[in-house]
Amino acid sequence: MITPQKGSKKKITVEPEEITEGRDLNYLIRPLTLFFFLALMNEEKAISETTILMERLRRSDVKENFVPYLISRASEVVYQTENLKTYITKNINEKWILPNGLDIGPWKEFHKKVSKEEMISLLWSHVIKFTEQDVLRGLMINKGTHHYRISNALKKLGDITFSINN
Amino acid sequence: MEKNQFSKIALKKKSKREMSSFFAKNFLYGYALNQLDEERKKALEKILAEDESTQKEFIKLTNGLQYTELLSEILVSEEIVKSIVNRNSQLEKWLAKIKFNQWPVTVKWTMEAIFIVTLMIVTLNVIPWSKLVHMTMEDQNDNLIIAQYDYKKKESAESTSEPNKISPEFVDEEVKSGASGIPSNGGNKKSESMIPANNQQVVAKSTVSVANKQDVKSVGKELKATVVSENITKEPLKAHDSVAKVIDEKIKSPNKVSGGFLYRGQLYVTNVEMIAPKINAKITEFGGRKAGEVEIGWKKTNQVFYYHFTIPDAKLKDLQEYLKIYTDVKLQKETHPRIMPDGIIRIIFTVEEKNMSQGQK
Repeated sequence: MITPQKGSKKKITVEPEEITEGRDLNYLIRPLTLFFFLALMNEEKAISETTILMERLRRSDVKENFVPYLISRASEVVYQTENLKTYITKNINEKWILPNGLDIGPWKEFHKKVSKEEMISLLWSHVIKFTEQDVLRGLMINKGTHHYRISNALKKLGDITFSINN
Repeated sequence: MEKNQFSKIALKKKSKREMSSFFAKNFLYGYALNQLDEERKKALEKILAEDESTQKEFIKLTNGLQYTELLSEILVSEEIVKSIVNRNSQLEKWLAKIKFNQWPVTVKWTMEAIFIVTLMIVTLNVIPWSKLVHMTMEDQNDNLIIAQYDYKKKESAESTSEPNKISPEFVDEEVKSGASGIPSNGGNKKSESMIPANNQQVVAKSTVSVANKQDVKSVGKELKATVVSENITKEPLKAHDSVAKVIDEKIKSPNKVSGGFLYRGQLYVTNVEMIAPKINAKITEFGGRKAGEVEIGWKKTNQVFYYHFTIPDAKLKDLQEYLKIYTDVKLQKETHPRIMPDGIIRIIFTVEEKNMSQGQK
């Protein structure tokens, strides 16, 4: 198993230990789609990337604990994707059911200002809500770095929401 | 402020931890998640109570946490999930593989335009549009053109003939001389003759006019419908399905042997003025009907009566027998593009006043 350096963006290569046939991975579609949607801010891309990643996950020989693998692959996609000029602006409620009182505007603003590392850490921990252990393993960073990134992201996000509300 | 803070920072004492605002700000996240130990928690709370900037930072953090909490409640519709689960089509997989959605907009539009143009070209070349158009046009056209007459040529031909005279339709249907038709009795090559009672031979004359050729050509080139009961009018025979009974499709050129024939003759009688009406009545009695523009026994001149009619084939002999009463009858059978129905023949002859010179011919 290749162990990349801390904080690096290298992907995890997990040695195949056991192939589980017939595993149901469809429960990962929702969190993965939501992650791509918020990280890429593009509906079509979110669906296409989710499809590709799910297909890759099915064909892979990853053992049962494949959340870190998923986190690693999905984060890699976000790192490699350039920020698109088109953002979702209309008919967002048709396919993405927003809770009452949520305005996607602050997130759009936040998306432009924040770094990808901070956003990814924030999304996996506080939006998708994977366990911290899986997130740290998937992103290949330590706890302090992870908390630091989240803290900065939250402050920036809070600052935007605070300024919009006031 | 900073100097005061710097000066106020106490050194570490036993069982007491002091915290600067800088450290406090970095511990805010842990404090929000309640992950700090008691000592740090108390120190942070103390700073929070005293330091306004730390308070603001904490407020931002909590706002951010609340917002992310709302974001985590976003639901993905079943439609998207199903589309991802069921996305098995090769095209979609291929498009996802080549990351078509990530291509620049101009490139995407160009590729799509090229694809559409290619599809249109292939469609236009493969589908037989001309056949489809002809099929639809044939369905709409219910008319059947049976025969067409070129009346302009006929009018020009008629204008060259004698004015102020009602000429028969077939101006060419004059009695010919030196006819090459098949004689009905198989006698003389040039003429067919019934041996008259007085053994006088009557030579039939025939003339060929210029208009004859023109008319024959114009008729020969077109499809003809023979009318048994009605006269051929000057109106074009379009959409007159009830009138036409026989269509001869073999007529293509006037020079070919088309299968139609005509009996021609020229009779010389004495006192034609008296005899002509009798001949008229007899022809009518035998079932004869006019075949041209003029009536049977049309008075062409004071001494010439013109007969152009159709008669049942079976009555030909009877007619010839009757005409023998008055004169020698020589009817020449000639080929003609106009075809009569089976059992019907067409006869053209003139009855003229016999002169001394004509009687000897």
